[in-house]
Amino acid sequence: MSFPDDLLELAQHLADLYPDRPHQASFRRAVSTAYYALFHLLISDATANWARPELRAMLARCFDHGPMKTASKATIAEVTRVLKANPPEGREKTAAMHLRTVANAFIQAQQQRNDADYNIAKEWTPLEVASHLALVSDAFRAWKTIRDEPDAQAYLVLLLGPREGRPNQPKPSGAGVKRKKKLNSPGAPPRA
Amino acid sequence: MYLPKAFAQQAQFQAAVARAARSLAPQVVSIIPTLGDDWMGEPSVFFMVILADSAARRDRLSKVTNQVSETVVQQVQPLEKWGVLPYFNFRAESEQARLNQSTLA
Repeated sequence: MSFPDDLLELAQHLADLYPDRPHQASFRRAVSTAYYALFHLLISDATANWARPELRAMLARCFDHGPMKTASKATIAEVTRVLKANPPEGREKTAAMHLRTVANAFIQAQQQRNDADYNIAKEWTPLEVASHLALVSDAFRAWKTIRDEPDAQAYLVLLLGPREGRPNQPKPSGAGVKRKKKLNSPGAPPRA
Repeated sequence: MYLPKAFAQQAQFQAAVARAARSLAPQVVSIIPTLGDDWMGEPSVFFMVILADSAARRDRLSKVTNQVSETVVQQVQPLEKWGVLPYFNFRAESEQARLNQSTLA
């Protein structure tokens, strides 16, 4: 089994560890582990596209929770817009619905992971934990159905983060012209 | 500063949530919305959905929770209409009663 599958199985094991007298600690670890199962499932598929296997672990470190949430939210908005237009039944519509399942589960699981790890005022119940694990399990099944679809692959790229603020982004043409003029000015002091 | 409509018009927002909850009876006993920020500081609503014990069977949990969250999102439109990102938690009626008892004790 893959590492993400192992994590999901571990999450279930942790949730079931004390069936007669559930422990908050094992519930919290189960919820947190389920999130990381989905987190690593998506990242491992994204990095698998990188041709050099020895660099995939390094690439994996470029993914961050915040941008992944932002990308998931944008994906849900886009898929919802597409589905509202009543597309015909078929592969594309099914893929869109599965993608929404995955992106939504990612956002939900991420917040639950934060609560599980940091909000000690919250008491978890067996049903709460079971429903979160079911959500992530559904996302695993959905993802494995659509992982090679074009929209799913585009989602993996989006998970790296928004284009804004990235170094080496092409600048608006006006900005480049101004800077060039300044540098060519004969009276300008030398740049440090 | 931008104040989401759900915060500015809390009574109306709660009424919309209550309407959605009624449409999901008898599976859903109640839905308790709590407004706040998520871990990234984004305005959010945290729905605590109390399921009837009969609806909280493990073998159909995924189906029930999906149906409930989809209905609430479609009817209330938390993000599009009220400016808050929805999060869902599900508890069984008996679990909620036990937690309420231990709080009172």
